[in-house]
Order: sequence, then structure tokens, then C-alpha cells
Amino acid sequence: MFLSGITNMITPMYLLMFIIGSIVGILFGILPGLDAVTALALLLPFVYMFEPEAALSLILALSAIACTAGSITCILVGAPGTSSNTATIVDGFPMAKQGLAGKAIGAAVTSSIVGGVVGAIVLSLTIPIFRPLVLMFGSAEFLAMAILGISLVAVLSGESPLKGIVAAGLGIMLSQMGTDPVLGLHRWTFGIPYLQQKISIVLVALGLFALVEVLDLAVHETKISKRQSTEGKAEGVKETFKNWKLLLLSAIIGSFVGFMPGLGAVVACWIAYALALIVCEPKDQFGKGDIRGIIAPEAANNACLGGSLIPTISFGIPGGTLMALLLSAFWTIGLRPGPEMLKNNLNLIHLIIWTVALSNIVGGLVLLKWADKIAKIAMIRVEILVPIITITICLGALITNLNMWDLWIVLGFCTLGWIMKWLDWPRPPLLLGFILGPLTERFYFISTMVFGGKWITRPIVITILSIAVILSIIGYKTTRKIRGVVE
Amino acid sequence: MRYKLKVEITLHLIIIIVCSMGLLTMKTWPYEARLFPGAVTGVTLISALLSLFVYYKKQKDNDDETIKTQIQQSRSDKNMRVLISFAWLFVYALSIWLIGYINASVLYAFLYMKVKGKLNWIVSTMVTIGIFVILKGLFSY
Repeated sequence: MFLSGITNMITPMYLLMFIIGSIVGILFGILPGLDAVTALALLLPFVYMFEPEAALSLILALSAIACTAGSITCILVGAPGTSSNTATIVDGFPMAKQGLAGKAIGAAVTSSIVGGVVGAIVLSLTIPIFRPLVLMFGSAEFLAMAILGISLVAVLSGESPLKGIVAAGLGIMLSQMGTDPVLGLHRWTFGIPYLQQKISIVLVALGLFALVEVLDLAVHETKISKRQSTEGKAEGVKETFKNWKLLLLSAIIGSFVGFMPGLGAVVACWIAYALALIVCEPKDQFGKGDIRGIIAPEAANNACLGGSLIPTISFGIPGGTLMALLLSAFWTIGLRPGPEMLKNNLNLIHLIIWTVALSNIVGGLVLLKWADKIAKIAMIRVEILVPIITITICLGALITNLNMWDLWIVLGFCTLGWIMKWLDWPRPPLLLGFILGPLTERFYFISTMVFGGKWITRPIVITILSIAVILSIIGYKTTRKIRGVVE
Repeated sequence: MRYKLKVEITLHLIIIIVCSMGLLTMKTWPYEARLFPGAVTGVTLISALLSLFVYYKKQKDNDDETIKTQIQQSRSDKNMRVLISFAWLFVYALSIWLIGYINASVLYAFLYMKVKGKLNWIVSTMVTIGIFVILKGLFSY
């Protein structure tokens, strides 16, 4: 059964989408200011055109490789290719300035490959453990899981937990606009026919994330500095395997952090860096070009994808922006992560595991071989990129219904997203609330109809909600410390 | 700093008003329809009020401890760039509505690269032609 995932991969469409996903992932990972979230938001309107297996390979390949490609920009340019590579700049860029860019890239890519594979292994080992648990869950337990996911993301995404909760609440409220699923009543439509159908998640993702990041590029007019030589990658590979204990530990930490909703690869890379600082000797070169300062964060941020897929696939509860968009993509192609997928689509889950592992390996090898040429992409003028990506975003907004209202909705969310970004309001809780709102309402309605108010006294529900409270408090204190260290 | 403070408070107030209006409109809905939205809107309203209170208190404490040597940075350049970027975006959207997606996209791409990006004629024209060919090909297919 586990090997059936491989047979699904040997189809021309799967391989073609794998290649396209890898190219898109490298493109968006290399370019500072853009990342897998932006790429996925951009591709979301188009994934429904493909078969599930092909669409899965596209979205997973780009998610896995974008993170690895981002490390090259960190090292050569001193700017993070993606937000999950920020820790790599601390030692990567100094190494490049010392003429050791090749060694740094060799270490970063090798760590990413190992981290990604460990993440896939962790995912494959935990699915059999979670499967019987998930099949035991009823609507009340799933409601508690949804509350756990939303509350952790709300509390841990930004600096202010209250702003996170407000953002999540707004997201859920926006998802309630339209026709009520039980009685068919029009809720908050203000007599506008367009609002009687629910706002599409694609439009929210395009406006709130993709377009905001493009505008950010346009406003900051990111300038890219001269590139450096990338000779010496083999040495970096050797050094990575010499530090195999740190490598494995960082990968395991990355998987664990990925599993926790609300934390994500950004936190994973810094926790791994902090760990390297604690356990490694000598420490005097950290911050000045220590290769271990690259190995730890890069292993962790790639392992994070495997870890974060665990709650997404098992419970249908995404733990962050990337997973929320992945979940939307799954729904678009007709897949229902959660108990349904664990019961009926185990072959697809194995395909996901193999795709994550392979995309890290293949993408990493491609980057190792052609880092020098690929790094030139980072030199593309922002003035060329911005109109191209903006046109693609508008195409994505219009392609489904050819309705101008869709474009105005995207612009509305873009304005909201920009204001939120400017005022340091976290955007992921809004997206998560929007995605999980209808699901949560269904679970809430069924739970209250079946159990009344007593749904909250069920033992598993109490356990999950207690975990939500404890993890929120611990996670908030921990991320505050980490943010303090980063600043 | 003051401008950002005003916008922050305004955003809080807008959210509070939206939640309050939301709760008021729910009064006419049947129980099943308002069960979940009511709970969520209530929690959001309370959180928004608390957030405003906490933010206001934090600002008040910061004002009391203001360091006199704090450097004031000029944000007018950045604000102008933000406004210009949004203007480009909204005019592009409007032109899609007026002249169609392909025509608007080609015009937008060329003008953006030439006027805002100050790129040379060759690069602007080549990229614009590329965009036109791809879009035309996509819509013909």
C-alpha cells in the first residue's frame, strides 16, 4: 500500500506538474519578497483544471522547493528569499562575504534535503498513529480541534494575541456572509445578489497575501546587489554530514514545530538556530560565518512542511497560511483531508509523502548543480516582475466567473491586508478563520443539536481545549522570547 | 507615529461598529441561523474592545516614557510610493472593466515598465509583446 504512492507518480501528467511546481517553487523562493504562500495563492484558481494526483505534485513540489531556493538568496544577496530562511542570513551572508558562498550553499541545500526527507518520514510514521484516533472523533471533538487550530494560530501569529483573535473572528464572520447552510437564509448580503454566494477562498488568498506582497515589492523597490561565485559546494556537503547530530536534531525539531498550529517554518528556523547556539562548541564564530548556523535552520524549515501536513491531513485543520492554502487547494481538486481521506484515500496520502520527499531531493540536487545560474533570477528587475505577477493575480481572480465583482473583492482584501500589515495585525488568522468558518459552524451546529451545551463536557473535548489553553500560553511566551532575540 | 495611532484606533472602531451592527442585524434571524455567527461576533467584539483598551494603555505608557532624543523619520516618500502603487493597481482594474482584460494588461505592463520603472524601449516592448502572446494564446486555447 505504501509503495502504491510510487506507481501514482509514474504518469506523464504527474511528472510534468512536478517539474512545473519545482520551477515555480524555485522562482518564487529565489525572489526576495515572494514565497510559497504567494505562489500557491497565485496557482489556486488554476489547480482545479488538473487531476488530483497531478495537482498534488504541483502544489507540494513548489511548497517544498521554495524554502530551499530561498536559502540561496539569503547567502548570495543577504536578503531572505522566503520568510522561513531569515535565520540563514546570520551566518550565510558573512560566509559569502568571505568568499565561501559555494560552501554555504552546499551546506544549506544538503541540510534542506535531509530536513525535508526527515519531515516526510515523520509524516509517514505518524499517520498510522493518528488514523484510529481520528476515526474515533465525533463532531464535538472536531469542533474542539478547529478551536485549537484557530486559537493557536491567532495567539501565536503576531505580537498581540488579541489582534490575532479579532482577525480570526473577522475571518469567520466573512465566511458566514451569504446563504445559511441550514435554513437557506441570506446572512449579511445587504440585498446584493453577488454576496448571496459565498466569497471564494481564492479571492481572499489572492488579495490578502499575493497582491499585498507584490505591492510591498513595488513600494520598497527591492534592489539586488552583485552576485558572488558559488565554487566549493562539495565542501559544504561534506561539512553538513560531519555535523549529522545537529542536522538530525534540527530536522526533528522542525517537524515538531511544524505540527504545532500557529508556529510555522519562521519559528522553526530560529528555534533550530538557538539550539545550535546552545549545543555547539565553539560558539565564537556564530554570526560571523559558522556553517552550523546554516545547517540547523535549513534542516528545520524544510522538515516543517512534513510536520505541518500531519494536522492538515489527519484532522483537516491547517496550522498556518501555507497549510490553509494547501487545504483550499485540496478542496478545489475534490479531496477532503480529515477522516474521509484517512479512510478512503490512503493511496493519496502515500503519494503526498513520496512527493514531499522526492521534491526535496530532486529540487535540492537541481539547486546544487545550477545554483550559479539560478541565482541570476534574483537579479530580475522589480519593475518587470510587478506587472507580470499583478496581471497573473488579476487573471486568477477573473478566470472562474469572469465577473468584475471578483476583482473588486480581491482589491478590497488587498487594501485590508495592506492596512493589517502596516499596523502589525496578523493576516494568517483571518485566512484560517475564513477557511475553517463553515466547517466549524457545521460541527458547532451538530454538536449543539445532539449534545446541547454538554458537548463541552465530553472528555476528549475537555482535553483538547485544555491543550489549546496551555499551548497558547506557553507558545506565546516562547515566541515573545524568540522575537526578542531576533530583534 | 501619531498618524499610525489614529489609523490603528480607527480600525479598532470600525471593527467594533461592524460587530455591533452585525449583532443588531442578527436579531431578526431564526435561532439556527444566528447560533454560530452570534457566538463568533460576540467574541470578536469583546476582543476588539479589549485590544483597543490594551493598545490605548500601551500608547499612554509610551508617551510618558518618550525619549527626547528619539529620531523622527520622514515617511512622506514611502507614503507617496504606497499611494502611487495603489493608484496603478486601481487604474489597472478600472481599465480591465472599461477596455477588457487583455488590452488593459498589455497597456498596464508597458506603461508600468516605461513610466514607473523607467526601463528602456526595447525591454519594455519585448516583455509587453511576450505578455500579449501568452495571454492571447491562453484565451484562444
